[in-house]
Amino acid sequence: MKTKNPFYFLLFFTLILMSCSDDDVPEAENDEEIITDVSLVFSPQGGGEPLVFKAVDPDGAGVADLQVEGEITLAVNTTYELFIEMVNGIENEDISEEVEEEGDEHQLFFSFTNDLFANPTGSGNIEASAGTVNYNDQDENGLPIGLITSWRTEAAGQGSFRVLLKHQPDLKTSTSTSGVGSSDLDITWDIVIE
Amino acid sequence: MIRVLMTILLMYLSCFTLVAYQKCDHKVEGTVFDLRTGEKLPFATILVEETQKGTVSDIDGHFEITNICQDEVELIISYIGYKTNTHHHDFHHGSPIIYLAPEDYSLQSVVVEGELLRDGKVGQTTSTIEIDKLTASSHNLGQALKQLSGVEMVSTGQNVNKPVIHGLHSNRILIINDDMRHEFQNWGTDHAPEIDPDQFQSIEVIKGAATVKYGPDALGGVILLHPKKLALHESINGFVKTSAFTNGMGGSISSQIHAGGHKISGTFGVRSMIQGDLRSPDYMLSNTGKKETSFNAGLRYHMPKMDLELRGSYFSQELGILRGSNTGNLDDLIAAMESDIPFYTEEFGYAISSPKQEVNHSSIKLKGKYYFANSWLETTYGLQLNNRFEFDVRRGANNETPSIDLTLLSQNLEIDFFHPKIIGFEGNMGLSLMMQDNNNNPGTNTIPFVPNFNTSRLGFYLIENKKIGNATVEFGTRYDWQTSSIRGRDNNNDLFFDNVDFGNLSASLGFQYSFKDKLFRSNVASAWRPPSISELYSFGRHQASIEYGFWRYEELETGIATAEVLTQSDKPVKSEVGFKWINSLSGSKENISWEMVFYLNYIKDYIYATPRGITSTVRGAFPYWIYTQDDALFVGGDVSLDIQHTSNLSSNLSISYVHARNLSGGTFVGIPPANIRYELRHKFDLGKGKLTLGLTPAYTFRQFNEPEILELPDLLEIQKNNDQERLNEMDVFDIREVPEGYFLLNTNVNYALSQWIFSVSGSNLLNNNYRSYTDRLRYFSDDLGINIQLEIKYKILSK
Repeated sequence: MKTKNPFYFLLFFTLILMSCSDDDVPEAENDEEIITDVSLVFSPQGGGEPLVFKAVDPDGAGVADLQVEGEITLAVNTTYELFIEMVNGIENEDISEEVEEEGDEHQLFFSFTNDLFANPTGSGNIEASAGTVNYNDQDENGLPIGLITSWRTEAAGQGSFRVLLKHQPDLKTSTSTSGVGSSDLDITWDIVIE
Repeated sequence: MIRVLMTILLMYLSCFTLVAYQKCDHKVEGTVFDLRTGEKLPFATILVEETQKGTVSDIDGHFEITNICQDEVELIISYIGYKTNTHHHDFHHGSPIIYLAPEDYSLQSVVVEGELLRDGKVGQTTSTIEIDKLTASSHNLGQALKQLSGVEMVSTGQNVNKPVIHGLHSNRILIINDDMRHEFQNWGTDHAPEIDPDQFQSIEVIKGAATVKYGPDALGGVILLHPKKLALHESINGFVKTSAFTNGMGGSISSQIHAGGHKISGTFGVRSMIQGDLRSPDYMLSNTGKKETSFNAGLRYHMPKMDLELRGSYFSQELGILRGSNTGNLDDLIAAMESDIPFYTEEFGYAISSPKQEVNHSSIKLKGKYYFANSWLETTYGLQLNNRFEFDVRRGANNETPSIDLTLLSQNLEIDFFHPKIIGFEGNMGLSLMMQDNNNNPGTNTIPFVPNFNTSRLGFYLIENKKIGNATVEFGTRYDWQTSSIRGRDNNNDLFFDNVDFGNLSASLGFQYSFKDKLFRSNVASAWRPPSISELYSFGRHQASIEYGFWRYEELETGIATAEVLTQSDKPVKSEVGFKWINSLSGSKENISWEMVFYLNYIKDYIYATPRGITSTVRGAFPYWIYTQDDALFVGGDVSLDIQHTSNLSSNLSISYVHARNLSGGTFVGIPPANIRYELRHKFDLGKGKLTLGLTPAYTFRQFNEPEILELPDLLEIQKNNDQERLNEMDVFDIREVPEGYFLLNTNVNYALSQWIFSVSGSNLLNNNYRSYTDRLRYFSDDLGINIQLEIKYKILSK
């Protein structure tokens, strides 16, 4: 090889490498973290049509605000079982199922206008961490999750109803409060009991 | 393209090989010193090997040998009672300075080669640190550079540190690793450069705008990393060192070995370190462990008139980020910030879990230098591969899945020609090419934060200088042009495509003048950088905030909308263009040396993110930030003073101040506050060994030039009242009170015995609680408490 001009070789080598540009696009990712649709499904005890109340945030991290559709309207003197359905509408994924599977690191907390319900009484377990909520489900450690809860109405009334889902990896205990972990869901509805 | 390049190259080569003929008119001159006393050494013998030529140094240690025919020679320098040294000298280098070691002295004789003043740095203020002389425990580049006046550090917790020059950082300063731009995901404050400082001999900081020589991004300055030169004719030498430190219960081991023969020389280095959870004075900083491994190798092949150098390096790092700083919505963020000790604080451990970063960086570089009679050509080709994975706290299996997984492949080619002197002008001209390919790797289960892109950039420059008496004047100009093709996914997972071009003409003018014992330097230069891909396209939630790049939001009368992905024609975004004027006056007289620096940096269309509002989501409320641009002004100064009180006692004082203004109102978040640092050193000669004691008190002031503060509970209140107007009237604001000033006391005790150096250094000796204004995690936790480090170094000396 003529060593006089190794730069030709260098240049050639470089141009070959530089010509390998591409135009590949990022693959579609299913964003499993996003919750777009939340439904509160109140089923009256002893049968009857379940009442469904929704909140929707179709653009996820986009700037459009969450839309809480309507207000929760419940009947007096009724016991309801509440199921909280969370869906990733972009991917059509059932997030409630995931939360149930990982129940040992999730818990739903509730807060509502004081003494709105006959049972539980009080204002829930967010502001007052010792407050009562009737949990009807359990994780593998026997601790409540909160996807299924029960509520008894008696007198008519109105106010607000807040649902808070906390992700508490390695933190969930029998005494962990709503202040622990990070929020996966935090929505407040208006509520009327009539 | 190929044809153009070939033609340029051919022109260079044909023009100057013709004038490369041989004459016996080479001359070598230099100065000989005694290494122990530092005094000039008369009567030393200097011989040119394989010839009859030789001389003896005069009363000032100076020598001169003329009429040498060869382009390169071996100089043999000897003196009775001193160790003989052989030095390879070629005539493309400046005058050598020779330090001869006495026979009974533990160190070896050394030669320092003179450098030619053709580096495009005329009038620039620069400072250099010798890695060898670093005293404090510096585990990364940011920490090491912080010791220079005018250089600060911006961090995201204790493990992620980036250098700040005169108030600017990230993609406003440039890192040149041995003649090659270090290409990495430089856009984030939380992305530190993947560099192991141990493999370098010195680090030089250019504090002026230096785009003309080094290309875009150099608005604030340039950091030049210099490895030890691959010298010929030296037997195996280098070092092995190991350290252990208390805060983080960590340790490191590293070694760098060199050897050089007649034509070939090489180097090899390796370093590994591990650190567990760090500690603030009052509590553990859980999940702040770190692991690093790096190695490097280099080979030089020397021929008459030509030098080839091949270097390769690999760096891998895994680092944890304070667990308590990873929060959910605004409520969670308020709770995390108000908590006395960070959430999730646990017992000490070495395990690193989410949130964390894993990065690896590999590079290969080929450098060629070809010497003509009075000129030379330098070519550098570099290939760099950078992989970055970032893990957030996520549900279930996704916790083990990175939410950012990027591969950046960069190729750089630099061709520089240093021309012969023409009517008193010396200078160089060059061509630089860059190709970058950035891809999101599939499988993150989250919509990519930045799109895929390919960028090609081409630049030409010319720098000329001329000496006029005691003054040197330099001017330079450069043109860069770049084009990027972009492929991304919008919020609905639909594809978008775009092509974006940016170009800019830059110029610089430098002047330096020496009179008596003083040196005045002044440099005014323009620099530019195109907006980064993340500034244009970032979209989404990162921890407790949401960020929208320029082209991901639109201003409407009703507020902002984020449904569409915009283009340059919808919303023009300009390149940032900076004009930095920097002046320094330095002097030395007897036992005092000093330097004063003053600068002005006007940046047109400075790009920054500013909080704009709050959006409510299923997860609750989140503040969102948008990218915008306004003109900015940075003004500041540095002062440093060195005093040699007695032959054993010396001290150094340095003071830095920078004032930043957003010219459309207010200032910016995170500008380093003023600081003052003093260092006192005392040497003791203990027979064979030498003991050095150093004490460094330093005070960092509170940042008084602060943006408006809007505490989070007030922000929540604004959201509850849906008070967009109040938000719109705010300038840039910060979400927490600026931390108070703080005092730190560091110390270093160093004992050198023959080839061994033992050192003990302590930082934050008083175990003071403090938070640094330039640390993004100051919202959540105090900074580091006391740390004691032990280090043992063994120097392998060349025979």
